[in-house]
Amino acid sequence: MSLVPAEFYWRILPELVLAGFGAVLMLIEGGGRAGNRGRLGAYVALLGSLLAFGAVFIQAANPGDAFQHMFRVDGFTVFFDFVIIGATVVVVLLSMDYLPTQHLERGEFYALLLFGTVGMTFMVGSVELIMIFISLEISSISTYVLAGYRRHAPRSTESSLKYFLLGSFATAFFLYGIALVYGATGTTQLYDVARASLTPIVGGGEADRVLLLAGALMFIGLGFKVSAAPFQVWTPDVYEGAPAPVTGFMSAGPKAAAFAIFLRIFYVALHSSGHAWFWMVYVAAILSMCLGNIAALLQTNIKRMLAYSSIAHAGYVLVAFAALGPEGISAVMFYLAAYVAMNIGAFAVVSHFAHREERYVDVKDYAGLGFRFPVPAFCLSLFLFSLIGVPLTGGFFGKLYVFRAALDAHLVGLTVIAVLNSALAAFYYLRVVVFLYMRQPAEEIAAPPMTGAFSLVMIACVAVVIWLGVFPNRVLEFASRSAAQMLR
Amino acid sequence: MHPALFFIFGGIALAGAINLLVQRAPIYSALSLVAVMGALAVLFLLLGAEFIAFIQIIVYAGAIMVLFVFVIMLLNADVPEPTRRSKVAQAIGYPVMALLLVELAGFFAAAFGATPVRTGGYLVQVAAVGQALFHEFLLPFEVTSVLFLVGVTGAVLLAARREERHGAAPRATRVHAGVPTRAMAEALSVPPNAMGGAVIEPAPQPESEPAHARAQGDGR
Repeated sequence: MSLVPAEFYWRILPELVLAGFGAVLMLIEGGGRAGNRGRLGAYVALLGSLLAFGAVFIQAANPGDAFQHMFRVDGFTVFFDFVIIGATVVVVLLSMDYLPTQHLERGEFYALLLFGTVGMTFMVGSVELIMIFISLEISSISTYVLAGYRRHAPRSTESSLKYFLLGSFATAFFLYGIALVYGATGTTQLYDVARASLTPIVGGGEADRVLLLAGALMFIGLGFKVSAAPFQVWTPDVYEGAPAPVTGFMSAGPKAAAFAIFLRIFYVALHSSGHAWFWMVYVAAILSMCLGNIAALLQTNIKRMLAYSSIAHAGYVLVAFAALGPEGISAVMFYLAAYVAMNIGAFAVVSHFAHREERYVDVKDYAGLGFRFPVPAFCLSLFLFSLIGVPLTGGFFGKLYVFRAALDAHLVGLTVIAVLNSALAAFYYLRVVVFLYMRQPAEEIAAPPMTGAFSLVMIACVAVVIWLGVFPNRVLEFASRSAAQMLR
Repeated sequence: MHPALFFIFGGIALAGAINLLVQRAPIYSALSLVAVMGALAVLFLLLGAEFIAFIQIIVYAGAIMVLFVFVIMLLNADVPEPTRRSKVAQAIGYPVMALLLVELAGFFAAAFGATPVRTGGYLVQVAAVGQALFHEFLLPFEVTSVLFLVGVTGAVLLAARREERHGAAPRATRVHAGVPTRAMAEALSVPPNAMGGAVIEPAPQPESEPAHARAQGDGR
């Protein structure tokens, strides 16, 4: 008798591929000759992430549960797997551009990227809280280490330490929430929790209260991971100190994965207490948007500015989250897909211009770059326009669907605040564009070499941003179908 | 009986946890953690989870705490000053230790030559743990290995000594006296006489490092 049927392995194929290539990377790093190991590692990581991206198609062809209902392959899983692994492919390419200029290229960097992706992809497919917790930890610990990767830069170490300490604290809250869910319902499987919460084992009202407390604790843990206010304080320091490609990675993959489990836990397992946790989401959405945008207005360091902007974007996503329905889910999914593409793109340009030891990360350094480096500057402007939500970019439809979901749920006040915030946000994004094209540089920064890897990153991000901005329908349809599937 | 025991050992666990936080010397914190682990094991025992209770003692109080203590002793050689209370601990500790040794000796003497006893229920419980671990929770069990791998890789990446130093000056330049040594001056890549024997600042941060230091680093 075989305990593990073959289709279980097909369902976790992307994760297996990524973990396998991560292990191979470690072997190369141990045995290879110094000097070209890092480069070889980069190619292996690129191959691994591309194969994993392909493996998602095989995974998608084998829908269903795996491993005693711990892992579920449905449209939702497949959607986020594409987004997350796609982001990893782009970040690997970006690191191939960035790490050699910093003289920091090592195989372990790529191994940690792949392992982190294993965690995130397991996270989005897991329908069981212990599994979610372990994969959340895998993704978090890899990001803590990657944030401190520039060991000789005090800011990088500071970033890593802050992220680690606060992150561990947040994880403890999440874990406590899991324990309470188990206490109230006797199970950790999300769909069983949903069923059990209707017929609780603890006496009626008490179980409801315990579940609500569990929801609040898990909200703190996940709110930290998606950097939603009031759990956002770590974001600017960590984003500023981490190496630029890692910052791009952090703001994309782990954030998308955390939102994915946020949706699964709250929409599925804690569905019965939705009326109560709705207000948590509501308040967090308003706080994140306002705090993020107002603080971003005051920044001159472009990485810090993008950090605050990422807090604001978490707020927009929470607006859709508060809509409580399949429309909200599909809006969140679409928004995250667009956000990942435009944000990684923006950080790619930042990391391209950063130079050795990340010397040029101030808005003033971008003065006049528009005419000296037309292609990266044009791409950066496009990503910033997309972050504003200008039509013909993915960001526009992302915002549109978010606002529509909120309006359909009669959240007029919340939508008005969100629209006002998007208008406010335009100021600081446009300021960068103004510097790019309309200011004279004080110091001419040297031309960074246009590598093939960087060109590919630009092509990929621009293509996705434009594609989502011009033909959003197929992606949105897929998202709506997955949302309906997930709630079933 | 149970509620009283629960409050006693819960109180010990809580007191140990608070002591862990307020102690300044890491070794005291580690020892309070042992007390917390021990008290938790008793709580598990009260809940009827014997297997978990013993695993708690063997794995946490035994293996992991020993590792903690070793690491603290290796990394941080500061010997904490004995306080007045530690004399009290001595006065109580030695008699208790003697008592335990006598009890242990008595136990071995009694066990010598006794017929072995069949264990009944435990085996079933162990089987149940095995079933849960390797069947129901197989996937999390396996995925945990990735988690450990990430932890080890991260520790090596962040903490291990590295042969190549890419241009950055070493940061751990400790200044014991006010007079700079040649090695320090080299590390700072400034001629010794330029400092004039003044108190040395910490090694320059790479981000504000002078250009010539960077150039020299590249040449290595």
